[in-house]
Amino acid sequence: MTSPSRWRTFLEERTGLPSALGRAVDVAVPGGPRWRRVFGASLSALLLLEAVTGAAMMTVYSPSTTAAWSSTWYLETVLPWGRLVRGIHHFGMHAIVALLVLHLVQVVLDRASRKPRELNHLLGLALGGLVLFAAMTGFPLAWDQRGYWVSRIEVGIIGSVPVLGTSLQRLLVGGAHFGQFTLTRFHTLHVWLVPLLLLLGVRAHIAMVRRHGLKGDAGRGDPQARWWPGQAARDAVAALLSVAVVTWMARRWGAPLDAPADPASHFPAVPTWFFSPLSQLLRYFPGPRQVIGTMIIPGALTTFLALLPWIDRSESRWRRALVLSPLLLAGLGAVALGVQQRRGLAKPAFVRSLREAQHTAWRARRLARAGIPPEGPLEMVRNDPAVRPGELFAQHCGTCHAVRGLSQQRKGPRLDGFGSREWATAFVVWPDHPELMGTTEIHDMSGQRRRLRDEGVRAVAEWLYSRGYEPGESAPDAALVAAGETIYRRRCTTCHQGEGDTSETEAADRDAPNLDAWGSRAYIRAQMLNPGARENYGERNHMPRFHDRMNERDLTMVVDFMRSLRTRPAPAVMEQPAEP
Amino acid sequence: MVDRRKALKVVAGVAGAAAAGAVVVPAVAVVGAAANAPRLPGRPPGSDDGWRTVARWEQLAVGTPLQAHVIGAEVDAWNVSPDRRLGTVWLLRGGEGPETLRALSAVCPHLGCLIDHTERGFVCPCHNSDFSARGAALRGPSPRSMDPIEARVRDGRVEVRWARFRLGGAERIREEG
Repeated sequence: MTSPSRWRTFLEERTGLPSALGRAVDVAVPGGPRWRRVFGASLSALLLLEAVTGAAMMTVYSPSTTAAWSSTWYLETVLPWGRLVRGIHHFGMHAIVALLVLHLVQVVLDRASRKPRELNHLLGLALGGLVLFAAMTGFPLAWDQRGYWVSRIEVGIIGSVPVLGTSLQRLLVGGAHFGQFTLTRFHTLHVWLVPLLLLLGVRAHIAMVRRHGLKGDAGRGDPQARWWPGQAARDAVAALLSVAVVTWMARRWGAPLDAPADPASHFPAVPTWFFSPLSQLLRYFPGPRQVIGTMIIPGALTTFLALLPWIDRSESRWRRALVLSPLLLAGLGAVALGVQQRRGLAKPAFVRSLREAQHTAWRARRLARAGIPPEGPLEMVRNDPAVRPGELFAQHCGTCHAVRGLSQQRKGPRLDGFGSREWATAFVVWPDHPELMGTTEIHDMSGQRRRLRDEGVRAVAEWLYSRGYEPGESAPDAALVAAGETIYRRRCTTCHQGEGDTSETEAADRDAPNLDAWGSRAYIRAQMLNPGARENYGERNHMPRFHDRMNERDLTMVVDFMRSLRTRPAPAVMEQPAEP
Repeated sequence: MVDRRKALKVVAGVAGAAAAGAVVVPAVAVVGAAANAPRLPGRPPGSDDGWRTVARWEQLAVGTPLQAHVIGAEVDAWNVSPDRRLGTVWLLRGGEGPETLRALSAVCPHLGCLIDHTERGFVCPCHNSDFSARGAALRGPSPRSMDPIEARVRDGRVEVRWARFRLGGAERIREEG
């Protein structure tokens, strides 16, 4: 058993570490410990918090346009503790910005930027800018809709800077296209360059604070007071409080994750609260005057703050109020602009698009649970089996065919219930009904109810239904099917093509569609790929062929969608009115 | 005054440690969590029975091992990639009936190189481990015999259930995930 002092001597002789640590905590705090000095400790604690949670997230995150959203989702949803760590990182940044604003207010009110602290004041402003840049470069890293669009707008603003703008923008984005290089560059800036500069800057800032002492303490309390342990305890409590608040917010709300970034979408992009005054300002300066909102006003404010030590030199309360009034105005203006922006968010159009965006985000997170394809999360969302088939159907089929909720067109038969007994019945009873072939150019089949009677119609419809039957659906009645087939092969095949004709009609005269597989996947596919084939509508066809228009995956989706329509209510056609 | 100083030291220590712990614990936990290869919530265990067709039974000749690739969906963190090569097996046919089928993983139990089949039998080209015609370790650094893979014949198709085993030890331990 060795005593601690022997270890201390051992380390001291070889590294000098113990005495270096002693010197580090043996800092003078003239005037004694104060609660109002804890700002620096809180900010340092939060910056360290960002570093630790950031490093933890880097073990999961993947900076690629096809993997960034996926890895963030995985961190957020699958990994235990992931949501908390990401939330802490997110709200830590908000807390840092909020504390910096308070810090700036304190500096201004305390006259803390005056001689000899001018340079440290400038450094502090630069560090504030660096923190905002860290927030800006971190925001799009999840490559979700909000991060992507907000970032695109910010980069657009940088591009509007006179003279240098375009080059700066291209440098930041990595070319003209906002994409993979943008993400890798933002990532590098966010996890390496900005933290490095912050580390060096904060160190210098603290060193200068120690050199000058804190403003407003001269002549009060014990001039020989030390940091340890009085101020250290206050600093530690403040750090703990900051961490606790941030952790509570992270647990309560978590960091947001929208749908995967989609460059071809409309997204209601709203910036973070600390950028929203700036973004609202842009609305008042459209077109060529934009530069007033993006450069001149923020630039003037920054210049004013930078020159503050030389402007604000009076001790007279009234003169100071006059000198500092622009800052008060700017502060009030920023709050007003922020409030104005939030008000805009209540507009119905905005609320609607936000709700749509939230739904897409929910779907994306839902789909991701079964794994994300190598093409990335955007392809996954675009091929959402709950949405994509309907979109494809509306795009390709809905231009002529009616389907409830998707299309009202009536250039071809309504497809609700297509393949069902009811649809088949409706067609056999009255093929020229306006919901069926009535609006097409094919009118050579007449209603069959009088010819077949109700039982005959029922049997033929049952047989037709059985042609596309798949296990799991309501089973066809075997006796009815047999009866229906007999009727069909004798009476319908005078026109309709297909096997087993007993009507003894010449094959060449039979030119109506082959219904032997009616309603089946193969039938729908053949009709879509080549409706003008002889076994379909031949020369009378005027439906477009989709042979070269759809890839295999889309085609399968549309066929699946058509099959899903079987269970919908078919057009209700009970009786064809008598010929006039 | 001494008591107050002591109390301040305790407060500084406890509050500082609590603040640090509140950040470091979740951060370390999330790094550790990824190391346990958590499953995707939409792919619970048992959602896939794991049998993959690798060959047809009549392709196999008695005494001549056949190399076959196991093709299937590869699950890697959040990615699910269909039709990837998951691994390689050697298929052995012992006689007439399908019950004589055996499958061996082509992954060398030593350090994971792909085992080859030459005229002297199964050989790992990396460190010259020799295995018998039935996969038993004969010479060289391999700590155990070639790893058997579950195999069966269904309707003339040879199916296997691909698995990975921990490398380097004499004991055969299946790697999950």
